[in-house]
Amino acid sequence: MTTEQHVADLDQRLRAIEPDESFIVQAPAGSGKTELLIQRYLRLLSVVEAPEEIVAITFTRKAAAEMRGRIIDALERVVDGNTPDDEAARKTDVLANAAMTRNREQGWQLEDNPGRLRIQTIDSLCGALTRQMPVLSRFGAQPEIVEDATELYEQAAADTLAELESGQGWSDAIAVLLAHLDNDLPRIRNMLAGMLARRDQWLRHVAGEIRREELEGALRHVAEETLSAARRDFPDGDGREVAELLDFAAANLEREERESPARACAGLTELPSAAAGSLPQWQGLVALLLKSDGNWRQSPTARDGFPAAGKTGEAEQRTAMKDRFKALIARLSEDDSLSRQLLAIRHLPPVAYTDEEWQVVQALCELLKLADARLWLLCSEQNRIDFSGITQAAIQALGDEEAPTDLALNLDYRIRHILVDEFQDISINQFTLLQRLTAGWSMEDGHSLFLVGDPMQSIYRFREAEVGLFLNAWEERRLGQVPVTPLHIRVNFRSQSGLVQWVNEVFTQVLPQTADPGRGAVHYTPAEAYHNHLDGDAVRLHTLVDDSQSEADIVLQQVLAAREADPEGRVAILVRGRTHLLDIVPRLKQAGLRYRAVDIDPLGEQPAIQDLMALTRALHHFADGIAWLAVLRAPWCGLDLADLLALAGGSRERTVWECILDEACVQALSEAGRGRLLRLRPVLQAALRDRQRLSLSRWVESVWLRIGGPATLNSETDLENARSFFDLLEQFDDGGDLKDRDGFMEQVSSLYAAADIHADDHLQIMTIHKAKGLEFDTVILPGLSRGSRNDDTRLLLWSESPHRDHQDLLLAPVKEAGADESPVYQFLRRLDREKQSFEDGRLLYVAATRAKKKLHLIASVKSRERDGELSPVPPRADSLLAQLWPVAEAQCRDAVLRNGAPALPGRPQGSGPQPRTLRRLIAGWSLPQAPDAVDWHPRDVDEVVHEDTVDIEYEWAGEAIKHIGTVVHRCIQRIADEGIEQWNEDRIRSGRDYYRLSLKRLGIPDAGEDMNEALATVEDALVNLIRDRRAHWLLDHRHGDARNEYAVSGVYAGKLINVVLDRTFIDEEGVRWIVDYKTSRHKGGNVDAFLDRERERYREQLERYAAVVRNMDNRPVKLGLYFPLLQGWREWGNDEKV
Amino acid sequence: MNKKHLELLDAEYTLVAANRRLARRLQYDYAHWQIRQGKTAWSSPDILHWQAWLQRCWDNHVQEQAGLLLLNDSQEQVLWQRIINESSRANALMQAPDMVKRVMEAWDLMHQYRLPVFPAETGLNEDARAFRNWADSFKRTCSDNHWCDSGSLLDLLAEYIRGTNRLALIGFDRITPRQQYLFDRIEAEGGAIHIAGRDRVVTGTRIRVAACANTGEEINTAAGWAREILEADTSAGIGIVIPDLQNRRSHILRRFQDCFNPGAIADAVPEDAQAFSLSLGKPLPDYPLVNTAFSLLALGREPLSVEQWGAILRSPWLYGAGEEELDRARLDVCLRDHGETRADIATLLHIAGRRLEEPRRPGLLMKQLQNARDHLQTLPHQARPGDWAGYISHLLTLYGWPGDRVPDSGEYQVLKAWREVLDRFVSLQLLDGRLTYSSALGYLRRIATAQHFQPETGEVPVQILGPAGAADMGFDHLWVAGLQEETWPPPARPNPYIPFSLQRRSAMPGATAEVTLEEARQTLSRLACSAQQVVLSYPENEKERTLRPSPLLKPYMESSAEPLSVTVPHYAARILAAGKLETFSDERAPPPAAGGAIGGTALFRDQSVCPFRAFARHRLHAGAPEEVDIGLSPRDRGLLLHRALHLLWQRLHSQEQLCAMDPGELERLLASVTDEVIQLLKKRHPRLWTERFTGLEKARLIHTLRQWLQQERQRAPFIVVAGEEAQRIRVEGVEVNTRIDRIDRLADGREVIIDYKTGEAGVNEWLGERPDDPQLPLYAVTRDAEVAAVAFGRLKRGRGFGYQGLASEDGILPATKAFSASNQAKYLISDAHPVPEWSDLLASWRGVVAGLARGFLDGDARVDPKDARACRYCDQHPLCRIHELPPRDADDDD
Ligand code: SF4
Repeated sequence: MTTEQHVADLDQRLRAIEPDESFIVQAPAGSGKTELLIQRYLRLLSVVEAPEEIVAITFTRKAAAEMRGRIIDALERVVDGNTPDDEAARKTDVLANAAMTRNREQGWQLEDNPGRLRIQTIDSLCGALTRQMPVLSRFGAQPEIVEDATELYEQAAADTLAELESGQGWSDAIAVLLAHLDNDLPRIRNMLAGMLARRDQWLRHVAGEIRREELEGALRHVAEETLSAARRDFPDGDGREVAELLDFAAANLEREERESPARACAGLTELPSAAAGSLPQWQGLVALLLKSDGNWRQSPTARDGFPAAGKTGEAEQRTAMKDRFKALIARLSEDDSLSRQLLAIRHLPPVAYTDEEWQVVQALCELLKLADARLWLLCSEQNRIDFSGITQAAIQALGDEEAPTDLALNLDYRIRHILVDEFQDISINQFTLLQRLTAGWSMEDGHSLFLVGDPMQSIYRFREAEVGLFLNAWEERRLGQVPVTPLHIRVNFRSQSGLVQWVNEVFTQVLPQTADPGRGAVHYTPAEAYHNHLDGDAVRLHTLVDDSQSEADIVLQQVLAAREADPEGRVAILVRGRTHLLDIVPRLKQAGLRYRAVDIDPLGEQPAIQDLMALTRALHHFADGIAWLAVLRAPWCGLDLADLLALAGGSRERTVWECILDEACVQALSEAGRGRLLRLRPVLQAALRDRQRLSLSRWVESVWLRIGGPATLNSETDLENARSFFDLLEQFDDGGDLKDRDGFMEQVSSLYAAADIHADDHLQIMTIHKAKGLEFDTVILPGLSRGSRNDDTRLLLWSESPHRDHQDLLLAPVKEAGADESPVYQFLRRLDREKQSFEDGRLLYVAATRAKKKLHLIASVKSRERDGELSPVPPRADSLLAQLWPVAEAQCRDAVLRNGAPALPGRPQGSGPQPRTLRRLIAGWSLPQAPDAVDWHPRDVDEVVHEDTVDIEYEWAGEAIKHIGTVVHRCIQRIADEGIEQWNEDRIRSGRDYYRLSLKRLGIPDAGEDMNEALATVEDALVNLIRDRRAHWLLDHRHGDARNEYAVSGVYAGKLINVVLDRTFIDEEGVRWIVDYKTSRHKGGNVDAFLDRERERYREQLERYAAVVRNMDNRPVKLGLYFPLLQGWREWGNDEKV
Repeated sequence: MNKKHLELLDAEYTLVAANRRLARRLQYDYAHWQIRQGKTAWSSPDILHWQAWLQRCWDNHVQEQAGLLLLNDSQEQVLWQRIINESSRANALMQAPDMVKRVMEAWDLMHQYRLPVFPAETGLNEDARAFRNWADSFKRTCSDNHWCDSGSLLDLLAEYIRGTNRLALIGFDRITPRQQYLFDRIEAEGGAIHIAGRDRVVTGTRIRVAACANTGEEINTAAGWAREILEADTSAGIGIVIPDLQNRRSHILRRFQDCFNPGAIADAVPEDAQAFSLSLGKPLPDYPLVNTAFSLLALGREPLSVEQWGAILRSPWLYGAGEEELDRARLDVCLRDHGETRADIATLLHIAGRRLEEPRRPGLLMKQLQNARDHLQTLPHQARPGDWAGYISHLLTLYGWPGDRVPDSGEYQVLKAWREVLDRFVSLQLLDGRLTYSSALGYLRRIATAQHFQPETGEVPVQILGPAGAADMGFDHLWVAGLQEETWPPPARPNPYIPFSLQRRSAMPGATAEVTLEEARQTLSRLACSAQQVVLSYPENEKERTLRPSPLLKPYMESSAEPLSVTVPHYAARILAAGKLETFSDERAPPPAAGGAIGGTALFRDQSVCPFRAFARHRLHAGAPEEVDIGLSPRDRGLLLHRALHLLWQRLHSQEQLCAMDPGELERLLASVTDEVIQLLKKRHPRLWTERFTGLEKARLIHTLRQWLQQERQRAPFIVVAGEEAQRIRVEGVEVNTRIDRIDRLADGREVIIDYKTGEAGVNEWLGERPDDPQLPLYAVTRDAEVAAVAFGRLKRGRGFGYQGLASEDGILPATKAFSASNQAKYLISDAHPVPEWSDLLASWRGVVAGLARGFLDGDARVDPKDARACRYCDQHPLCRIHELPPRDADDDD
């Protein structure tokens, strides 16, 4: 395919492996970054004391698994003696060899214990740190980590707002915010929750005291920087000229009482200074020189301070001034950058907050702190935490700059080398973590840091990635205290030369010209192709004008074409958002193509899942009429509207379930409908009766199976999807009940359908973000003209900008309900949008560089006619096409011209109702038999689990009696073991401490009536016992085969039972006695009757004992109950029963 | 029964098993052996598990002599907890419940390894220091009180044990130094120790390695495999070892159930009567029965959230649940409707009394709640655990717990376990004097949670268990799952409270990778030769990750000649295959019967936006319980302003009077009106309308009203003739009940119809063939008087605040041009009306309204949403089955 050539940047690559230096490496798409990481890792292995000393941080768990896999493969190749033939791998193997040698020397047993390779995500690294430092991290022990903590945030936010009434200092702050936002609690709660989700970004800003001078100082700095830039760019000679013109205009405006910012310029004699105080004059200047659309004002009017010449005496002067103005504009407009500078002034925020604004800023800062504290509290109550919380805790555990934690003492292994992959997507918090981890590292102490990534591929702003951190580290050649050497590798091993060329050409224009860490701007760095040029166009831009054709059709054509050209090639359709696939996926299905799509098809909208949802809701709540009716209309039942109406249309008071149970209602159904309903009814009845006997998801599943739910599905893949539904349902099981119905419904809608089990990976569909790190022969990018922005309003916007030696902080509060956004807020939002727009360009870069051979871009444009000229409408600013526009516009224009005038804008009169049909099981369908249950029999006999099945008393009425019995039993056993004649009353009374201890241990409180009473009872029982002649006979050690607490097992009524006999012996007549002690008490008269009743109560139990014992020796058996407290006795022969 | 074990028993050895599970197994095996000898009764062999043996020794040898009291684990745990809580570090710590466990584990480890708790000062980190402090207090507390903890137990035993004790230890994978010390003492006293089990090797074992697609498949295959063996030989003993059993308990149970008895789920057979058992319970509060008990008890502490109430109202564990289920569901709806997020018993009773009529009132439940509430009021502020146990169980009985359904065997055991929890709770009396209700509940819950409970079943052929002790269970067939590289050997997990260097030196369990590797290797090699047939398996994928086999499997890989082929029965797939479907069309319902009002004006709106929705809502009355949120609901926000404006105009009557009113007087009027409406809601929602909230809301209302009156002043003169007037309107045979917010009369007698809106609203909603909101057009065409203008009174702060209307001529409404000159007129442009007039608008409305009415009367129930927005704010998705339609072109993503 290609002829291999020398790798142009080999020196850089070799250097990057050297263990005694720290690096930051920019490795563009396809440059073999992972191999480089692996090589360095292996190299490090050969110099460390323990593999745990190296920590490699990857962006995802998947990447960690892959990296570990490849390292182990390399190590195994060494063991097996396999050598690959490609050059890079050979190099890797040399390094692996050295690593293996070290492994053997040190006895690491890596081959059996690859878990020792600490390759992990930053989240799991944080988890490991907090786990090892429970006290420093303030956790005590690891809480459960939740991936989606929205619920926690919302609860914490609600708790915060509930502090309104607490009367604490912060109550006022809450009141301020509520008044500001129209007292709309749910909305404020949601906004606050949104803030909590990204608290790692603002916490440090609001943690300290907020000072107005400082913040307003920051606003001034922004203004001054912009003003000085404008002043710099302003042509030297024209300062005075513009001042005079402005002065002239201001005077006119004032005279004619016209409002305009230019009036601030009265009396100006030269260009305003760059001090913040001159901002109004600058704004006047901009208002005059630029039109509202940002273009130069070519001819000013009276509204701008240049009245028509008219007939007054000033006519001449007026004309002259106008001419001077035009001349000035002509000169100024030669410089493009000047108009940009001036525009920037127009968007500048004011240099001070209004008092109301400031009040809100303060309140917000206080509130946010409070919310963070409430969240912590909530997390500890629930023992759950989000990733951000773990990271924070880890940072905290590592100590701060002044007092770093001694890691040698706190971690099981000293971390000596850190490798970070995808460093461009690191967040501020993670960056701080790295700083703390490397605190105290010096140049020559055997530590190293290796940061690798590609700022051009930084696309995770929504996960708080800050590409500026990479740029800064690169610029400053250090991370915290660790100096890092920048290295740049540039050979692209992935794409054919044609693609690399195209990307070089296009992205020089798409990405900004210069890097700017603060604004998140990354400029393009060209790559060099390793592979040769392939025949044909590497890249094709398909243009669609005015929906002349659907994108789906083009996608399909290109998929088929790629397939024909190379049946084994892998094709990917990459989109920015899943919704961009709505037309494409059905089109592919229609064409019979199978594809693998990960997290693309939302499950919640599939009819099968909707039906399951309805069933769950119906079972969950009788009053959920929508769900109940939906269950009856779903394909497993299939009632039509007429039947539904007949059944449930009668009364709004009654629930659907009542109607189903009501024979009169059922009779009103059509005959077919009745049949359908009656197939369901018994199933539901049984299920409702047995509520909470199965777990929630099993319960729903059981109903679903019985009503034939699976029979209504289309394929086995649907069955997988149903499985996902049940798995999710299980997570919402709260003691058999559905916890948080709405939360569940929301979660269901974020599930995605299982991948087609019959599809291979030749055609894949995914989002660009998912495709990061992957490669395909052909890449198709539809939906380029679609937008993506979802601008949620945030409570607080913030931005940091470097000023001299520190970071200036800009804060802007959310606008007051019903009011307009404040200029500061607008300013910050514009900054944010700009960052996003830069990232859009990078997203396009990531998408384009996934291709190895061919790239298809699909652009839909609208045409418009202006002044008889056709042109394409510029794409939405937030679309990827907007990024591509500098290079795509020409082609789009051609396409528009070719296409001709747009059709008249006929409003697409709704597609009209589509005639539609529903599916349902045929009438009389019946459930197939279940597969047979396993045929098994218990071995020999069943085992009985409970010895006594006496009814449980639900009420707890003190257990003193039971405890006394336990102690008495134990003592009698001892007395019997030692011989009753050894005992007298004194000895019994002297055991009091022992009884007390025993009773105490069983739960009788030490001091108090209960204890005294219990003690007295125990002693009474024992004293009575030794005084009782019958007891002496019972415990006589001369009996044959006498045993105390004798455990016997046997088969009784076909079951295995275990019993313990209190006392058994054989008397002189050869009769086997079985005796149980009972510490029953009886007050009042007629003890005999009481004892008789007791005998009846225990008869069954003793006779069961007898049955077992008789199987051991075939003697006559007698049964006895002995009551020491009463000195009572009941005996009977076993055969009396029969 | 292992011959060796029998010999040992014969030699009067006590068999001590490493865990309860194994002890049970040995006992059962012994019984089995006896039965095969033809016996039907025998002396029970002396087989017990380690903890039970310790307990017995304590009772027999130590307690009396040492005069110490042995703490049970609940007591110990609470004691540690208390010590940590009272330490200076408590406040800074989050204190996950696991923390106590880890601390206790550290304590235990130090004892097991016979190490003093850090006498040296150096080399200690924060965690170790903290632990040392806690350990000191713990030790002091114990000795002050003459208590003995489980850590010191072995030492005392070693000291006091006498006589010839013969012990055979079974299933002990490791003997700790402290155990060894005890055993040495026993031998020195003339006893004997036999460490059994390590010598058990089954010869000729067939070992296979199986790779499964994912963990789910792995369990499925194991289940299918076990089933096949069992079918071939019903007397086989089969073990399934799963390392991370705890986390996957329910998944595993489900898959085994579905494999062993695929139809059971459909018959809803409860979990017993299965051929397999799982040796691991779940926390007691996860059992529905106990879960309900805790919800009920929580009621004594604080008002419950609406969701928690919902769970109680649905709970089958309350007396009368079956009988009153529908009424309780209705009560739930009323509660949600009520509008507050939390409610106490009194509130609930109040709502039930006010909103539900006999016989639709859950009388039993209400009675029970009442009784419980009365009892709650008599409870003391503080009491001893023993007393609380009584109060609490009585309280539960009053609530009607555990209900009138006959408990099945599992539930019966849960109830017993609950009793044990109470017993344990009472045992806390040893530590604590008096507790408040809240802390009593806290302890109770902690104890219950620590209680992992699994209803017991008889001994069954297939046992699912963790690796510990599994090799000694004497299985004939063994499957070991979860042997992927990531988890086997498991990662090192040193205890953070003991200095790492110390753990490493002593090779404590989990301390280092070397230790875990060695353990994993031993465990695996013992498992691999503990049965005739052994399968070792691992999953190949997890989500998107590819997994690799554990390197420890390498020695067995070669021997796996024949791949495993197992068929697993799959009921759902069978049902799927049996599906026979037909299609039918269902877009028209029978027309409604004539006569009688059918609904409100929402009917017209729904019919216009989507005919199916109108059918579902207004003929099927399909609705769902609502979600309750904090703060004022949008409905109540609207209500407040509506009512306030209504009251205001009742007093003001006309614009003239408004303009004439002195500003101070007007302010007073505004204040009194807002007070009045707030009172209205405050009575209902006392919890929400706190003082400060009321102040804020009042300010908001007055502010809005004041601004609004500004609008009113700019209008042509009018008097208000009707406000919130109920009326019945009839269009084409459809009768609806209406309540027009307001009708004004102009000087010339014409009317202006006004509808207040607190949300978004605009005049475009009245236009087109299918207007979004045909309510005002409906009013306009059904008034007797001539209508000069219709308008939304938009009360939402911000852009668009004020009148949004259409008028017959300029000047009637502020900033509103005559219709013919308005932007909206172009919608009506046609050949017949090149310049549409006000009358044309009314005529077109007449047509639209009539058309909607006819559609409804025709039974038109097509699923035809006007646009994507219609569905977004509609709750009928599951019923209309819109998702069965091919998707519409999506609107752009905003
Ligand atoms: S969801 Fe859409 S289609 Fe279904 S009823 Fe509502 S509006 Fe109509």
